[in-house]
Amino acid sequence: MNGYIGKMLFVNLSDGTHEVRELSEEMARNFLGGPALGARVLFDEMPGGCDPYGEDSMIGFVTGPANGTRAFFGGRYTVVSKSPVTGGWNDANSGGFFGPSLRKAGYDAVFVKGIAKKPVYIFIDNGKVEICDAAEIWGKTILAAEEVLFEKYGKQMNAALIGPAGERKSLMAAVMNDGHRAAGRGGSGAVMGSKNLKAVVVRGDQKVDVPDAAAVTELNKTIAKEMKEGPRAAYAAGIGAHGTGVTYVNSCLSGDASVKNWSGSGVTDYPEEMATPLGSPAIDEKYMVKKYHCSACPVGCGAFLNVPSEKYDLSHSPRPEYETQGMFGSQMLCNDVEALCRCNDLCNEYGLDTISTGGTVAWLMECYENGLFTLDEMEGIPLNWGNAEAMVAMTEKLVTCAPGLGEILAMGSRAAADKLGRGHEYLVVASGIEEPQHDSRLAPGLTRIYQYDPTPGRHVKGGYGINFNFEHNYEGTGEPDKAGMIGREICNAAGLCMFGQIIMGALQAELVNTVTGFNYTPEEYAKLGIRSFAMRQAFNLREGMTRKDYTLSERLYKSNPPHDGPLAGVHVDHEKLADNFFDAIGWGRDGAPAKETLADIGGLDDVSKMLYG
Amino acid sequence: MTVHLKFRSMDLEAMTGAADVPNGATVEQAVNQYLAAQGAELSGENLRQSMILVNRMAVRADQVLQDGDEVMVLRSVEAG
Repeated sequence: MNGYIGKMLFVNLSDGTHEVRELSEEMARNFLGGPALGARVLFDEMPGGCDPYGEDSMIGFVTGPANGTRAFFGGRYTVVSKSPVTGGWNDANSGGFFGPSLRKAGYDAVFVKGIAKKPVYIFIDNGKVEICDAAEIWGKTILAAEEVLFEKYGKQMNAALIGPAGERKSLMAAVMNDGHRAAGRGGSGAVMGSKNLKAVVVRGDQKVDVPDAAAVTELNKTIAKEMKEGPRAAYAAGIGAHGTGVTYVNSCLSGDASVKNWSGSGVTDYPEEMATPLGSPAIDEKYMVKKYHCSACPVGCGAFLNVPSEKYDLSHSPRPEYETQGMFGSQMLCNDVEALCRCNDLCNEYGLDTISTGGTVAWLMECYENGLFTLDEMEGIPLNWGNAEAMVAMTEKLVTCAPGLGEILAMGSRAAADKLGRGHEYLVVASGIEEPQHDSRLAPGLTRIYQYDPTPGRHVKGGYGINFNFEHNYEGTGEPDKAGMIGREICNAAGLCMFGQIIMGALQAELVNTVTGFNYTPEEYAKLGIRSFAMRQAFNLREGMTRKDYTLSERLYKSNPPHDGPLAGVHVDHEKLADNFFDAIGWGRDGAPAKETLADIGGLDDVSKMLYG
Repeated sequence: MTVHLKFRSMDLEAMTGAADVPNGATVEQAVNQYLAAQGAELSGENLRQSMILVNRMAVRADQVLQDGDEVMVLRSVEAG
């Protein structure tokens, strides 16, 4: 089958068995790959209501048809599981080289259930599968574990693995690959840790067939031209030169980035002169040593830095992404590059999501500033606004799950507030997930995504998105929200990078057809996107989650903390945005797909039966 | 009157300077005049999609300017 290896691996860690199943053309055509295919399989294989850490719980590592085909931007793979944070669906994707490497090792996806009696890793070598003792790497940080695996299996090895945070089941634990790439959000690293599974290690040289290799080459040339001459040429050049942090200073000033745990404004609390040293252009000028490209990426938005430091080894630090800059910068009124890089490195080493880590430390910072905790309760760390040293110290406690405050914070801000019995008024979470560095009061289209995507709190899911709507006019948002959702669902399912989707626009549909040969019509393409969204949401519906269960923090959407600047007095009519979206995609206002919609998009007869009998 | 303009965006990065504009000029008029003198342009639609700050406060493109105002135009982008 073009665009696919055609095989999925299922491993049971409880009894040490595995089986290979065919990925049928029907399933591939209906769900493509990535989170959509992952949701289909987990919905089929897992019972509703199961414990995310139980034997019946599964974790999946799912590629998309673009992986390993040389198609531009085709380097991303997705980790799927039940989220121990939300109790619902979780998918998070990551770049680097693991996705294409998994395909070279002979599988489109790996699904793991059960719990190993002691720490193990799965080794897949050109199709052959082995469950190995992980004693040598359990407890090790990401780079240290990878070093052992490289020594054992050679430089062709790639791995998806957890750090100590995942082993200790931090709810912010990520699944890492290539040293610093993260499938970060929603706690899948904790699920992996609950299975005593340290890593999925892959090695191989198998190839993915495409209908017409020359067509892939020609399309890449078209995309390259679009990058240089199309409407997003400046965008492509900007992130290519300086990564996602190229926008950092703008975002601090405009209200896009959060300032002072969402209570401040850039123009007053974090002005241009404070923000500029942490922006990527300034960082690159002083510290960049080389760029980094994910697999098949012509942009190369990554980089490595050498930051002189007397306290830390930052000689080969991955350049922090925009989200990380915001979280450990404007969010806590810090502008210390050393501290930023150290916090980024800590999250990479121990395997945590930088957004939730930074969001949790910032929440605690505001609590402390407002007198909710004594210095003693802070274990002697004066976590005041702008105190970079304290920020690093508290982050160290969190990532190491240090006994006491550290292990509490490692469960995230909402769980920490519940455990400590204070600070709920300062939380900024969507269904328990710390919100990212794009304030939806500036870009209201993000509100629907943060609240009602099957994986709440994510800025990378599709919809009306970052369309700055300063008029706050909520009429007619349904159709563009639907169109944005469809495009991003397919981007993620295909194994493509969202920056590539933004740059190549309508060429994405052509790319999907070129690597698969499925030749989707525009109507089929639209149904594919909606089916993907529906499949992910079906998982939540089976858990009993209805519209009322998707929550946002009072802080941003009801009580709007007093501050000046661009967002002063802004309230987002988030339920109107949701109504518009659900109407546009043929869902009921209760947030469930209508029976007629399920019949129309097809492939979900079991979901329709579950909902309507 | 004289107003000071600064543009922060990927395509108009590092453009900053002063412009002599007629009394009663709006932000949009001042922006167009200044950019034309630099051989650059920013469409009305792109301007309306930008964040415009005058003296650090958010305003719309039809805001009337005063002598000495500091105008910053921030182009919005999607990032990671």
